[in-house]
Amino acid sequence: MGRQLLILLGGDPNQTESSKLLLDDGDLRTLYESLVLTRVVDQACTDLQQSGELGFYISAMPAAASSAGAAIALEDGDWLFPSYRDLGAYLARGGQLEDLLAQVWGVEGDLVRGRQLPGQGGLPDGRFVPPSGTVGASISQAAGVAHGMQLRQAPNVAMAIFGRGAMDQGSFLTGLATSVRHQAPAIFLCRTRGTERPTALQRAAGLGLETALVDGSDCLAVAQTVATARRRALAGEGPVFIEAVLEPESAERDPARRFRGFVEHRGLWDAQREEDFNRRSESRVLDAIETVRGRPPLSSATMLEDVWAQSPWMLQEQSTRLRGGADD
Amino acid sequence: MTELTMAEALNRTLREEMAADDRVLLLGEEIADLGGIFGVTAGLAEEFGTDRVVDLAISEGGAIGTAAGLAMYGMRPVVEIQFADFIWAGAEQLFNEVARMRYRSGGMYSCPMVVRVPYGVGGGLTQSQSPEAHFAHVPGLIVAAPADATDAAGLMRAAIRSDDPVIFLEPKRSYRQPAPVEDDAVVSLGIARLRREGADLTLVTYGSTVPQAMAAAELSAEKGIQVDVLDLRTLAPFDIGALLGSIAKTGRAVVVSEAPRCGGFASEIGATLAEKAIMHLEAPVERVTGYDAPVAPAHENDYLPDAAAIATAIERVANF
Repeated sequence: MGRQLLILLGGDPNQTESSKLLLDDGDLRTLYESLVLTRVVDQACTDLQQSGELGFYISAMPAAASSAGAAIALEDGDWLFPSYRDLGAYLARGGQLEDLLAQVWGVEGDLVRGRQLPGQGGLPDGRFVPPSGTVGASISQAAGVAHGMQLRQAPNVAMAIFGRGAMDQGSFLTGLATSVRHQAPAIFLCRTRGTERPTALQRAAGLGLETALVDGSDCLAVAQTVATARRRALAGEGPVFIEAVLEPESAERDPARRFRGFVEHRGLWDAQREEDFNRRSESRVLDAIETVRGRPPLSSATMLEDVWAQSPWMLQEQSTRLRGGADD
Repeated sequence: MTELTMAEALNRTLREEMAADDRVLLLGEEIADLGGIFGVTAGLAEEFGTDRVVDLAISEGGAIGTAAGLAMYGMRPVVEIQFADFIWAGAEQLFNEVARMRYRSGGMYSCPMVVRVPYGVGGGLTQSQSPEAHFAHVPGLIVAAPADATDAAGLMRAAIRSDDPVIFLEPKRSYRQPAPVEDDAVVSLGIARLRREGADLTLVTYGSTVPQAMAAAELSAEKGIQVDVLDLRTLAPFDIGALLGSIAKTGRAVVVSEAPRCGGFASEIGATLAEKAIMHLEAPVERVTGYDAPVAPAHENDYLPDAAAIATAIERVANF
């Protein structure tokens, strides 16, 4: 694929257009809207964390462009193991605003039932596996899912997104090496600063993966690269490792800004839409926050559920204790 | 009914489950070409191909992490760890990921898989651990510990069909011991087996120390002490009904395990009896265990609780 840094946004939109886009207009518009919505939700949650209403919240920035960009290039049936800043991917993969905020507030409607830190929710069917609290753990799991897809001959890929901190974990080595050994349809996206030595790309290339380097704040370059990797993996050509470089200045709070000129140039967006969508997003987010604020907290009885498929006797006893009764 | 060694019984059960369910696949180090370090997977790669009998690199974390992904995707992986002592390299995946996947995802994802773990004294300083208490301490894992070919076959079938991750502890000194194996027998997880009946004392054990416990029961019988030998077979969750039922009858208990004493699973049984059966107890519960020391290859026989030591404890508790 390429060891030259791929940048599609920021130059002449005509030139960008000439690159063979693998995303259709619907995807491009969804990507733009996901980025705007991500910015609005993230800003609201960050503000509420600073004001003290939310005890904990990890900002989705500066990962949002690479997050939504990667997710939009996936198809139904593809699996995503996200990192802990992947709000953009959550929305781009069809996550609902109220579900997301119910998880952040830890109230009824939280799909992961209060088990994850705020912002670390999940979606079923591989759309968004709730991120692990341990760095890099999902890399070998993604290799396992990809192997399963091979065995089932499913036309799908498994993708893991992680940060540079995961590169020294054992799961990085085994996940990448296992997927190479099976030529499994896996895509690994690592966010870096571009200054690590050895670089992420050097490590992955050394393990035999096809590699690509992209500007991680260029959502289109990320989407295009993931879509290319996806085609390659499905053609049986093996896993792909993508290094998405996040420059320090890319920590800006508007991941959509760079993309707007492109979608406008393609006639998918204009000033009026921008104004309408911004206003609607802000009111949707405020409404959803009001909704989840009004919801009851999660019942403490759920604390002992989903540990095993069926509750064994110890948990049945302990659930009596939890309700204030005697243990036995 | 066929007489098979435990290794043969496991091999046959894996073969039958793989034939019946194409979601079942095996992962491990040298399990295809070599047939696994104890020969449990011998011949299966020839029969099912290396897509389903997968040799992995030497990385327990990689094996368990890969299996976790396969399980989440709907497959039923069975992972072979060569020796229990090696599993700690995979503990992060096992404890933080596999065991909690159902919980952390609110039930959206789960990791139904079997991790086969040869365990117990025999082999060396890093080939002799009995780590069952560590696993039984982790919510979300099921811990099975069969003692012989009969139960290994039946429990393996249940473990593969379980919707939860199962740590399957295989007592490696029993791999070559024969026992009758019934076709298609399933031993439900969580159900103990009363291997011998007696009214005077309950001898509780599981897995690798069942043979010594049976021999000790025989020695005690010669001295007129008749014991129930309760083989737990599953440690998490263990069969509380069978345990309390036997104690209600005998009022006395000795618990046998070859793991180190401090914080061991024998202690969990002792504590449970103190909490739930104190009104039945006529004597202190005694543990016969390994030592709070590693297992030195030069001293394996000294380390293991033997029938004489168990019989001495039985006599002490019976005559208290």
